[in-house]
Amino acid sequence: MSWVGRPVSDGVKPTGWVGRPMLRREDGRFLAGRGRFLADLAEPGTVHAVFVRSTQPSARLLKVEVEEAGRQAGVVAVYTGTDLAESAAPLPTLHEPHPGFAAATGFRMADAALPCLATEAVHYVGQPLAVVVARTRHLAEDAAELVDVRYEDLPPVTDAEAALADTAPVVHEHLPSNEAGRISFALGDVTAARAGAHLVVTETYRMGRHGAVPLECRGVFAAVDHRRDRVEVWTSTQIPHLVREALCAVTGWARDGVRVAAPDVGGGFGTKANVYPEEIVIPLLARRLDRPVSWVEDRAEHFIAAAHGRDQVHHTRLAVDASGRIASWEDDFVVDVGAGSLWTAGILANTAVHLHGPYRMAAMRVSGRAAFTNKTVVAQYRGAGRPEACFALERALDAAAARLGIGAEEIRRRNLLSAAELPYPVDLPYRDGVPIEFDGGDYLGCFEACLDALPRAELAELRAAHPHLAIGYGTANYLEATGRGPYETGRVRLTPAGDFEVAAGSASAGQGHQTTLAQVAADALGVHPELVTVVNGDTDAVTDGIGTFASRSAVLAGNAVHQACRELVVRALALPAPPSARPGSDGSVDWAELAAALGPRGRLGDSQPLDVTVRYQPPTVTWTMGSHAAVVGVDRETGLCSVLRYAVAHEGGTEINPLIVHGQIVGGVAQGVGGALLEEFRYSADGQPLTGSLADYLMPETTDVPPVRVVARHVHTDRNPLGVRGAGESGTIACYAAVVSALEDATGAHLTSTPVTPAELWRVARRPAPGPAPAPELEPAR
Amino acid sequence: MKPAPFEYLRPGSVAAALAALADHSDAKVLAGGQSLLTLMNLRLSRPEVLVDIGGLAELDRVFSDAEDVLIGALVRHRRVETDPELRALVPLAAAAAGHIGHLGIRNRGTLGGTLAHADPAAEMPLVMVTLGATCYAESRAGGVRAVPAEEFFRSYFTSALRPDELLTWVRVPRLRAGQGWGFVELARRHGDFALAGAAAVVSVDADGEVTVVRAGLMSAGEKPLLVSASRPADPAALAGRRWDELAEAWTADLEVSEDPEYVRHLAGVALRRALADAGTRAGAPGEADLHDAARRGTDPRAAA
Amino acid sequence: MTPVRVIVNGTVVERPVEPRLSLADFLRDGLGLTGTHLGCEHGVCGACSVLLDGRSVRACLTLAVQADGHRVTTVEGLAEHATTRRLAAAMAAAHGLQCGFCTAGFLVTATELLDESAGAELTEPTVRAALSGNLCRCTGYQAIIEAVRAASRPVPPPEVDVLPTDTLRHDDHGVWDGAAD
Repeated sequence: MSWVGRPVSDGVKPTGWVGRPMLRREDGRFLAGRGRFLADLAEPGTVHAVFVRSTQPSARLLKVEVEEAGRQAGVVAVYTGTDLAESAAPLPTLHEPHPGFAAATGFRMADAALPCLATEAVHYVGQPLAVVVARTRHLAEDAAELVDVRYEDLPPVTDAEAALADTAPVVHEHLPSNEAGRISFALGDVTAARAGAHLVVTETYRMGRHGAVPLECRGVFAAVDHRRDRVEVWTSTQIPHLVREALCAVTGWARDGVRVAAPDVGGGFGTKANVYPEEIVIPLLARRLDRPVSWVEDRAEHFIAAAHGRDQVHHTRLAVDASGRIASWEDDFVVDVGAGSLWTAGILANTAVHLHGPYRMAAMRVSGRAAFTNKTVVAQYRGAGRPEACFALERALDAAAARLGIGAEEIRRRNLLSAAELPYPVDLPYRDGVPIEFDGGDYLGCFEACLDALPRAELAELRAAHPHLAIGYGTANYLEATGRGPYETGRVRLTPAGDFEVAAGSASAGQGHQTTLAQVAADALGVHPELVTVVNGDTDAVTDGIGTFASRSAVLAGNAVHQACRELVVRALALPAPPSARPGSDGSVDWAELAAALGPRGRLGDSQPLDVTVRYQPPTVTWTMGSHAAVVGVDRETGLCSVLRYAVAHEGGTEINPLIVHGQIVGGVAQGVGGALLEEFRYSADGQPLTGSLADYLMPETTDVPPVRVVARHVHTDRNPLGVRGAGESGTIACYAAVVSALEDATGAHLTSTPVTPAELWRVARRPAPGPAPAPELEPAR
Repeated sequence: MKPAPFEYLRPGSVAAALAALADHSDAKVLAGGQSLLTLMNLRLSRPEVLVDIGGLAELDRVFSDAEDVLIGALVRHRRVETDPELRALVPLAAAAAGHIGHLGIRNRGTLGGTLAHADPAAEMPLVMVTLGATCYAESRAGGVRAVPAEEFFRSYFTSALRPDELLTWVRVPRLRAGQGWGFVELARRHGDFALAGAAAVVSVDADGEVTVVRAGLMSAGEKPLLVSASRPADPAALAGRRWDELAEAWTADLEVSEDPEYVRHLAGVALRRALADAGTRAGAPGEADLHDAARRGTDPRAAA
Repeated sequence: MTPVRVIVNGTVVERPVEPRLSLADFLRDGLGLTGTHLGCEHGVCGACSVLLDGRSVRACLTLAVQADGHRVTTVEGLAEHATTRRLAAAMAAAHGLQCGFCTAGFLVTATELLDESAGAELTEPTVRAALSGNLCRCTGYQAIIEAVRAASRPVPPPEVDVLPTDTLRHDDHGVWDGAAD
């Protein structure tokens, strides 16, 4: 059986275009070097912007002197926040929880209300406080060095838990504390369950700060279109419609006066599913200067100014019975959202809810708090809280298994939900206010499929071949709510030539929507995908939309396009048939004939063109579940380690394009490996970023990611007409836990934080093997 | 990340290059540019004048005689890595060159450039010190100055080159009969700067007894650290000692700032492995190093 | 300003350039060859790789003036190169690209690897090591490795036209001209 490269399906043969591993339509232009990314956009007369950014983590801004910079050759203008009063309003939060969810979880949130360009104070190294515009990027950088900024340094807050202490300096003066948000819920009776348990394992787990770091940095290009009297904004974004909303909210511009579109986007992974001050300032400059303005973020800026992710600490207590079955699970966690986040609600909610895991949970208590610190802003990075939650639960399960002397796989088997228990209700609403019910098929079976794909037995051969390595095996399971609403827009129209233009509110950053949405449309319309072109990521293509993040586009955009196309067919069939049609014909449409008929001289020349827009609203989220298995090798002498083998089994639904789903999973695993072993945004104790380049921030290379065996278990879902489940984050969520579990298996040491460094592995690998499990801890009842 | 402006000179001869360096006080030499342009893009280096010696084909040559190989400053790492003559005559340098960054870096970076850059975490300074190479520095005022490699590297990013000097040639001793070499670099990822690294040359006599051990360490302080021992000059240092004992003795007092316990240990591991490889290649008897054999054979992460 | 004369994708280009202009910016902004991408500007990511006299180099760590008198080949110039065409077909078949930003750099580096290997079938460790200087954030590399290996095999991959001219009336970044909502 060949694992590598080809999606392994369970024999479901596609009848239409959905389900086929079609080659991507996008590929031709990228392989020929004809992609159009943000930095490739140019117009005559474009000027170039460079942002002046804070060099201090926490300070009052005493002075921002721009005169000398403004006098430099080639400089068009220099602006501070005071000069751009229209940018003064803070960016609106991007997510507010559903009232039902907020009530059920005691949810509260504070708004950092960061201005686009700082005027009074700065709260993180990298915060923009002035912008220089010049004929070339080079001249703008030269001039930016001459902007004279005077700071009055304030004591920085660099630790999230310390930030929540009463004595901590308050990061945002308008707020009473550094609490950015809080959430809590409980299921069952935790106290009683814990008191009666056989074993309680208490541990603290940490996931270090790291993030998306796409290969293409951010960028904004804006120009005034006088003919249409509006500003055209191109931005490397995953959420063009939300960017427009925010731009209008801050500037007061009318929606019709702004177009926002995404060009080809070189990866997003959540950091581009955010709204940034640069996306407000550059359009403002385009209006102010009446010239096209381009800002291309460079890598040094990206590390300090593009949103970070992760950075959570979890204080946990897992209580189990003598056979390892979960009696209760408690977690008090803190997430560091830096100087602010427009996604605090999402991160807190994702983490809290996904602490549940695909397991039987009779009793559970979760509390989470988000803290402001003087670090870079935070947004949702692939998984967005779920990896952190999965890490805590899976590590705790490993700890309990070790103490009980049962296998790590066995403790999971005993707790995973089986087919008979699914669908599984949880007495808690999801973020959309709808009571949670895992619409899964067989979580235990999925786990077993993963173990079959990469069995522990393979270790024997690896140990024989590499005696200098300590080889270990680890597994982890995840659950993920995908396809969250509130809606997505799909649009389809029949063109005069008889083919179709499809548009959606999604915005692809590599997920292949031009191909997948064409496949969906082709099936719904009964045509070949070659007749369907897809446009997305543009407020001109559909007037309302949400965007691509949180594993939502297959479910949301896919079904919106599907429904729009089905409706188009209905409307087409309702039109008078051509005279040549046979009575009682099979319900298919002769689109070419119909397009001609709808033309100005056609038989239907006075009918409306066929153009349908649908907003698809899912009833609630669609759950996906998966299992990861990792094999690692640690050089005992040096602590250097590699991930040697990897497998993922996941409960997807229908897969629109199995090739693309497979690619998403393997790519997700690579980012998980990076976060588990290599990547970290490090800060000094006084708030200075220490990772300023790709030489410091270590990304996984070709030699760091093994081939990944992927088993797709198609489990039908009724939650959406296409029966799809999101998959964008499936490769990442459980990866940290699986890799660290394998490292623990290799070294015998209980590892509790990421990234795991070679020095740490060397130290733990030296220790003698642990003795028999100590007596179980009994905690006093609270 | 665009560099600050500079005046650009492209001399057509070594003499013209020396004149340019003599006439401009804040000038930097541009060879391959892989180190310099990185620093300049980050604006960590802002020379007023860049003297581009890339056109000086005369410095892109290799000569050899019975004792040494004379390598021009502009010889690219990729050539050192792959040229059959250099691989045969100076295999330690060839092996080390293959560890420099990634392929694109090696296609451009030059021997002279990396030596002048004097990064103690770099491979070629380590190799030159270990081999006892000689660097030739030329200036208009001072002519040619031969500087032993051990004296060429002063401190972090500081070589012995005077501001008006150009490194033009490097004389590298050839591998002799009865000599074996070893090079080990320990890094987190392929192509990274080393956490620890070592180069070694072991000489054996006709009876297969080790007579001279000469080794060096990179990422072990402000410059490559040379360690050596020989018989009969210092018989006690070698008698009955195993490679691991030598390695530990030579790395016990390394002055490193971050995590000294771990870094010293890694240095010892790298050195032991390099010594063992060199000893094996020289034909010295001795216990095989399990790690090395396993590593060479089937390292799951190793390059082919 | 310094005059440079460079042969870019087979065409002689003569321009005055500022000395500090990188080869990448010269190609992209000066000549409109935007297929070469800038991912870091400090030589780590490899997205800017081009061939300079047939060898892969980082265009961000090369000044345009250094290319004076030399030959530069970008991804656009490799469109008719047999090795690259085979590789591109294999990349599409293996789903070796997602966002496409790193793709040109991989095509350049892998073309050099394949051409240097002169028909020898490449092993996985060899390919991974040779491409370790090209970062990809989307694919996890597996499909890229598979594609390069496939392109190194004597049997060519199946006939797939993966550099198609787009036959539909379709501008990837066009304005939706349909009826307004």
